[in-house]
Amino acid sequence: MNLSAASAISEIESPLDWSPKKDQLMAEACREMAVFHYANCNDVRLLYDKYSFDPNSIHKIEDIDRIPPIGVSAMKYYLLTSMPESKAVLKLTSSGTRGQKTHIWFDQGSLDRVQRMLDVYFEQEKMSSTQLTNYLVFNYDPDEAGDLGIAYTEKNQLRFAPVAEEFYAVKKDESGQWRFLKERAFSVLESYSKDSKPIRILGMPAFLYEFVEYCRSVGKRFSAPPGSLMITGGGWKAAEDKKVSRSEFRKACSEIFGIPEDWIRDAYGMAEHSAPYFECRNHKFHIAAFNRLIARDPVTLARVPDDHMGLLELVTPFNAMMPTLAILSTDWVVIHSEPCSCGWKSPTFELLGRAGISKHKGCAIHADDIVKRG
Amino acid sequence: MTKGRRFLFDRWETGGPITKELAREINIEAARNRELARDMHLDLVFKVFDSLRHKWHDHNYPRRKKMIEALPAYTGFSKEMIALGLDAIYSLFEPGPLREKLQNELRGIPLVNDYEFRAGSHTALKWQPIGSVFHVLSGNVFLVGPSSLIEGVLTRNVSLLKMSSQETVFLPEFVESLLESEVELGLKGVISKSLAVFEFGSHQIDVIEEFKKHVDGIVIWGGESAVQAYRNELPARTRAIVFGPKLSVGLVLKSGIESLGIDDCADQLASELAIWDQNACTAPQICFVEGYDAAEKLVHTLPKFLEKWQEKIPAGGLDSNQAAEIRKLRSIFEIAKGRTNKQLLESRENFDWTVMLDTEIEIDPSPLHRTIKIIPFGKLDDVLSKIGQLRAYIQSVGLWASKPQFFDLANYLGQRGVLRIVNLGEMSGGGVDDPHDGAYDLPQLLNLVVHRVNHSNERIFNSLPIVEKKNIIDSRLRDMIAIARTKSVYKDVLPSRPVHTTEDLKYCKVMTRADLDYVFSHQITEESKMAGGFVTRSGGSTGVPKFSYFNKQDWEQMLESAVEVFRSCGFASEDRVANCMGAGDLYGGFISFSHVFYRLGATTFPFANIVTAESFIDLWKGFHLNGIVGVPVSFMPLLRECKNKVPSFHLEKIMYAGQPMNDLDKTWLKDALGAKVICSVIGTTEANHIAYQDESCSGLIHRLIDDYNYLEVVDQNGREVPVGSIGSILVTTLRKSTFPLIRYAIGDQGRLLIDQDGNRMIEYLGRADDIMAIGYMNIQFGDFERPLVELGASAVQIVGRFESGLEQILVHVEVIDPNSQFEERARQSLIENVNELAHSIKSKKVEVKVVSHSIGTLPRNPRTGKLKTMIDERFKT
Repeated sequence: MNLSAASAISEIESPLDWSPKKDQLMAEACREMAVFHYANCNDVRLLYDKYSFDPNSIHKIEDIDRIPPIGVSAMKYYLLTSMPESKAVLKLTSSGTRGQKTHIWFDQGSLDRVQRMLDVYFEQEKMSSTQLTNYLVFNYDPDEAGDLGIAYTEKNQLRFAPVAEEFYAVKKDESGQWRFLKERAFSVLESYSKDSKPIRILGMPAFLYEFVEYCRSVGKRFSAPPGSLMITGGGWKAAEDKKVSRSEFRKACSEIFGIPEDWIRDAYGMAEHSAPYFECRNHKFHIAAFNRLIARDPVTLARVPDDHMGLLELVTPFNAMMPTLAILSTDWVVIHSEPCSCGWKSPTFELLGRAGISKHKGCAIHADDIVKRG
Repeated sequence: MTKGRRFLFDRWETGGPITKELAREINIEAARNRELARDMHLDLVFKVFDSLRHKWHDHNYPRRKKMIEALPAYTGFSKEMIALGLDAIYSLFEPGPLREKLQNELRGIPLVNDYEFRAGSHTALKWQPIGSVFHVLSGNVFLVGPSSLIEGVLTRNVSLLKMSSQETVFLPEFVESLLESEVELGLKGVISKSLAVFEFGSHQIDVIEEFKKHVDGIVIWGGESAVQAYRNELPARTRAIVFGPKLSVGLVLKSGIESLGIDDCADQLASELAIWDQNACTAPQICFVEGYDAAEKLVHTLPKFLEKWQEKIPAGGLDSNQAAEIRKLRSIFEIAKGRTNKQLLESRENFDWTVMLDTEIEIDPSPLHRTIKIIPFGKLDDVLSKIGQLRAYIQSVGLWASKPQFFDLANYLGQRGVLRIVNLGEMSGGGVDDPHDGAYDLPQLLNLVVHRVNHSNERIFNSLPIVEKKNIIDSRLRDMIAIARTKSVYKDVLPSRPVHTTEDLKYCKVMTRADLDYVFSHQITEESKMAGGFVTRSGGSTGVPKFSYFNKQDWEQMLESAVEVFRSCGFASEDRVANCMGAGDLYGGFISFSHVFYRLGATTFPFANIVTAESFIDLWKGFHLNGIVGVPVSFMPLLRECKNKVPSFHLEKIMYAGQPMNDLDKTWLKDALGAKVICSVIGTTEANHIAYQDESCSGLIHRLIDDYNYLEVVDQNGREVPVGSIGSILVTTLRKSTFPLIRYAIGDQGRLLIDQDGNRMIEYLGRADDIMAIGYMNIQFGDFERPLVELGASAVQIVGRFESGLEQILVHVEVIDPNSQFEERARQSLIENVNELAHSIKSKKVEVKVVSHSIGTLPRNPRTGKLKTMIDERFKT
């Protein structure tokens, strides 16, 4: 198994600055991975054959457009692998917010690659630090969360600055139910504030928003030490339901925690894709050189022009354990053509919500309408 | 294409979504127009509907052409589908089926100006519109707007139509055409004054709240979120009529494939998927098939027929979210087909159709656009159980099964909450009154109002205020005229001007028997869908036999009215009545009396006119008969014989029809039989009952039944004569949809009278043609009958003939004791009492001879039992 290009692209410096050389390396990495999955995964073989796609035909970056993507929905029903289970060193599951959970497995090589992708990303964004740091995580305690992907992701982010103290605000109670320990988090943050070490606040916007509201209700504002950082990740739905925009949310967090808005970043990740995306200081998501996002016409699967809405396809060549090289999501995306003023030389993208959950036009039923009876 | 237009009762405005302030104004105006809507004349409404449907059916109608071009962009349907949808307007607005819808859904109970009278409980029922109704339209099928409008208008509510934000083009155009029709027919505002069409967004909570607060009902077409948005926190008094969300499925059984074939099954299923691109809630979203092999066969057969339907009705454009859903489903099956025995067949270059073979028995809604899962099953119970889990969501099941299995299974499906079980291929069609959500639509837009008075057996109609009576008669008259106008054969009878009230009847031609025969002979072929009921023929006692047809609805309405009449006459459910009316050879008397007594709840003994005194007495003794109905000349001899044989013979209630009864017989019935009720019901073959006697009537005076048959008394020129004057009787039927009579001359004479309560009554003077010109005289039967009755005659028959070259009036008389002395006395009495008779005899112009007979011995009409009163033998060859 020769995956040298895949390894090389995963550790490329300054991944947020694209170049022709990096493009070529990306194309080679994709070819390696496509050939590997074609050889080792029957599902991929059938799919590529159906579309008469030869994985060896990927020579340049434009060629990756032709890789037939696997539907994310199919991955929720079927475990797709290209290696035996024994090779898996990490098994995670998606949160399964819409019922079905996806299982994501990593072999050691793939895990190393994706970790390196994170490293180079954090380095370029200057989010890596050697200073001892206090962590307050508004997410599930990974010791109790088992293989829940999002808990692993949060825990994984603790490696970018040495841990002084850590506190997970969502823990299981005696009956095994998840509880958000708002008051305890408040006390922890109070104690962190008295310390001079930077604070890293990580977690899901829904919990964070509730915490911010709580702080507002008790009239408390914190003043985080310099070098503090906040990274959010996960669903926005709860905050959106309260009609709060992302910028309002960011502003509110900045006011309460005392962290400059520049250092409040949102992350985007999809369990099935697993490659990292973080907002730049301008709060735009960039596509790193080891990833490609393609906006597709849902009917023809043709790439739609930049600045037009399309169905999001995500390409990343790190995972040999599972054929996640190119997956077609159920999200709408627009890839922006205008360069970001942050300075990174890579396109930015914007997610426009779930596809397919349209308001149904008539009295014909929609899946969301059904309340099954016994 | 002008978007953002709204129509508010009589004016167009532009400006897109309405505001809360405008919503308030609309509600105020709607409240003001409630009375206007309530008084809407349905015959005028149907005129407009009829005009509308013809317009949209015309392929050169500019608005139709415009919509075929424009709507694909707004609705996502192909031009061919749009054209098909517009064609459906023709049947959607057809007055005939809409009248049936009214009749069926409202159970014959009238709307606004009329009542259904329920004699047994002294109850009058009527529907009243609930007031102003707010219709939240869905955007899936553009005909939802017109359909909802029809129901609003038929129920005479003010209709406020909120267009779907996805489709704001067709409805304004349709309203434009409605206005055109109104103007062309000279009926400006008849519908439009009670109509508003507008749009606003689902996020405009303040506007929604404004309507919730002020309207009387909300019709909601849509999915769960739309329904919840409008139903939640609706004031308790406001009615929510919910159409959706709904889902339909196909169910194919082995027996269906065996008996009806796989190709036909695939063709029908493909048609269901093609129509409205599966967007209607009647379209199947999943199809269960008995057995894997059959399912696989269907999966592989279906594409051929989907392609066929694609040519006929090409698939429309796709909403991007819908496309994403289809893509998602295809991507799952793309992987699944390599791992399992699931299959995926798809139109490769596009999403025109997608067929999947799934093996999990689940009911997951389809993304539509001709996308279907075919799911094999082994045990039917597994499918029924899934359907049961979705009870209240399943609209239609399109069944492909052998006939015996169809009905067996239909029952199970109905028990699991399925509302429509039809053959595959007929899911998208259906009757105009097929319930959408398990209940008839129209009653939900109406209040059923009950009036109950508990004081006598008198007909409720007679107790109503005069104005109310007039409203009922005029309302029914309008309906009847509207029906007649739909039949070409009435064009010479009806005036071109409107007939709104009985005062307008004078503009209608007097219908003769010849007119009716013409109508009958020309129309009966068009009545090929003869809707049940009875064809009868008159007895022939008045000349050439006359046919008449009452369909099921007419018959039911006849019964409804007649039961009330009989009860008013003094009959009740506990009575045991001998029905001695004539029968056979299409004579209707026997059958109609039987049905009325049956409906009344009385026990009937169907003797007809063939009965001996012995058998009658046996029944009287054995079953305690207490009443009889028949023709006097037929039953009087019978009753006298019974009395002779059994002195204790008695009978409490006597109803007679067909001929008058003389006072002597009445006295005998009272004295000898102890009769408490002796009443007459007058009817005709063509119109059924027209007058009756209750206990307040005597002699020839009868009460009219103006709410069933409206009578006029006119001179020879068809002009109404003053109350109290004698004239010819004209009948206008008010509850007869087949061959309605409009001012039909029944050939009898009478005199109108008014009682102290303002009720019209009639002195019934018998046949206008009971006149014979003989001996230079016009003799009337009644002039001869009266003096003879005084002498004890039970029945009289006059024969005009020649005897030795001289005209002779031969008078046959039935008496208890026939003898020559009676004959001489009778002759003398006639000479003394009949005007001019003495003079004519003296001047040898005519001779009179009386022949007496025993009671019951003169020959009767074998069918009717009637005795012909006047026979002119002078023209016999």
